[in-house]
Amino acid sequence: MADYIDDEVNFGDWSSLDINVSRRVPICLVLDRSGSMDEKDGSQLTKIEELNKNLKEFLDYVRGNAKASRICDICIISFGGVDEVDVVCGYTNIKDLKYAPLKPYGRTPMGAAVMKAMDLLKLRRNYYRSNDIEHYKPIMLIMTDGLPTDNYMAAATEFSRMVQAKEVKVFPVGIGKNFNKEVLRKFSPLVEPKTITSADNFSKLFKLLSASSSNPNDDSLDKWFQDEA
Amino acid sequence: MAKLNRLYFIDEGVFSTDKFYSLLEILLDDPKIEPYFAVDREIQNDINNFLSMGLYDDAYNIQTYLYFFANRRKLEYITTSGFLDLEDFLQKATKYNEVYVLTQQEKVYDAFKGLKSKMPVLKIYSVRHRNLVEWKETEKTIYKAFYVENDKYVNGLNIDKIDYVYSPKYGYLKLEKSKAVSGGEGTCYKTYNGFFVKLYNKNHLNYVNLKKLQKMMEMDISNDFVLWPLDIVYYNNNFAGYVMKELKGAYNIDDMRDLGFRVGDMSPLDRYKICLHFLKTVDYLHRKNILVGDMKPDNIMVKPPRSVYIIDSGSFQIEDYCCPVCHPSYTEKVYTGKELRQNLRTIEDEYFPINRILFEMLMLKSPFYNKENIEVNEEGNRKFEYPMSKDNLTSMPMHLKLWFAMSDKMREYFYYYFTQGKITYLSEWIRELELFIKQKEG
Repeated sequence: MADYIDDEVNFGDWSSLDINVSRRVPICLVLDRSGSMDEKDGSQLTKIEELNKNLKEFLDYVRGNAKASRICDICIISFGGVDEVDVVCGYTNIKDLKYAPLKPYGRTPMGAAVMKAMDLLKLRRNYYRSNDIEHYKPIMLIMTDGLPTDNYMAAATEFSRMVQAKEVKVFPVGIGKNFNKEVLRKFSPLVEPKTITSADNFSKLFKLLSASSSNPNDDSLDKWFQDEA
Repeated sequence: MAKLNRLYFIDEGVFSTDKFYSLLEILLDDPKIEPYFAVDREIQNDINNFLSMGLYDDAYNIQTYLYFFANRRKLEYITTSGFLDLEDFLQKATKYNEVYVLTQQEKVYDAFKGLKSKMPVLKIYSVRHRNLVEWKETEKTIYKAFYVENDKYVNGLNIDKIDYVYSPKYGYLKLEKSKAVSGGEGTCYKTYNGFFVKLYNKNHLNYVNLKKLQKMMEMDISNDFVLWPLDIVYYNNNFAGYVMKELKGAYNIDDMRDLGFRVGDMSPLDRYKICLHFLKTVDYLHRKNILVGDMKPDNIMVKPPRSVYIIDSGSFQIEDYCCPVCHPSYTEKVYTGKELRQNLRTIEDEYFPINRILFEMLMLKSPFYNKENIEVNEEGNRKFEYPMSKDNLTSMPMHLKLWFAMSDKMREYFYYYFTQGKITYLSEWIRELELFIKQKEG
């Protein structure tokens, strides 16, 4: 690196050079770990087991893929418990990411979780801006199997504004048969919520997300969601 | 009756058009015309460029025509200074009854059209399908592509379920389904015997693509840096895609940019050399009336330290066969799917991705980058804010350091292209890059 920079100086009369060339893909997963996720719905495993299994495979993919591991900044937020919103990890490179399987319990404070996700995204964008780092469109995956148990409208309105302003690309996912599509639509004015009801659906979702992580121009995930519409 | 003396001024790119020798036979056989030929005095530089790239066939091709004209004592060399000064042309052309300029380049047309008032016997033509087609202003952007309405040539072929394909040249090719790369038109797979197969999605398994590939099979493209289709492949006798050489150990430009072009022991100057090789390869294609079309960083591969390959040739624009896909960040215009399929793009259209990719390789940033515009592929109004002078700068961030590390001319070329749309053609870019590299190597 130092040699490279020294060489670069030879192309001009400048010193103390620093360089940030790698463009980042901010990916945020907002995940439901409410009590109902402990139930089975269309798969041999419970919903939380399916989620944990596929999430691990996704993270393993990012860790093992040279490009994805370089460009992805991953944020994981879970919601459940007694209106708890946990930042499992802020926007972090995979090599610094510590992750333990989610444990299902309690209610579904999705509004607060999305609010937290928006705050972290704004902070991240400021970080990119102040460090001269270009980034791809932020991706946010919201997964839930039920109805929010908190007052989610303020979060949905603000988040929809961000989506309309193309500040973030959201992929809303309803797990099983008991979630309310209308509620998810309030967070996603442009993309129709996707229903996943089987192990295959889980696997496909995270495989497509993996493809986006290593190739941000890959639009297979968008297309899969468009099929739902 | 005495024959009319007619001068053909032949721009170098014309020699590379498909079967130019057949057109030449027609020109020579006209009983009413005594033909004479002229070329730009700098044509020898073009030949040397081809030789330096190892493109011996192309160099030999032009040299053969020049010998042919010279042996008949019918060859003139004319100084044009890159078509900026046509005084020599005017002087030499006055002795002929008719003067025809043959060129594939809009810039050459633009240079000569102003002479028409001074020289009524002057006509300007391009060569298409071995015919002379008179240049007209209105023809610049409205060439129609070979287009078939509701074109679905193969139905019901699900490429996800195909494990092998058949190539008449290479036999059965078993696909490594785990090694797949998806794109807009289809999916590419490695084969078990060292090839790479592209299978089209159902919307692209059409008659136009089949005919285009058949045309490509007939063409003589002998540039190792263009991954040309080797054969058409079939599944159960149905057209499925094409097979090409597998490129090992290469990175696409997008990845290289994220790595800062620092793979192995690559030096900063290698970035400039990569740009030069890239431009020479594009120039090679343009001279054959081929446009890359879907020119984007994903389709340009670098084998360190500095070999550049252009892939995805099945989507090239070849003669009347369009390039049906594009990446919106790498086109100047916004195209609808129908426009892409029905209209041909011009060489000038291709200068947007050329400038953008070149800029990104040299600068490691988007040309529309600024503090408020850091999102990739979302350039808003595409405002180019790199300054031509350091005078009013209060700070010098990295991207401006790289900007001012380029030569003055390179900065001018970019500045005028991105602010005024003024094109610097490949030949000038190549010359400037060669000069810059030579100076840096001391």
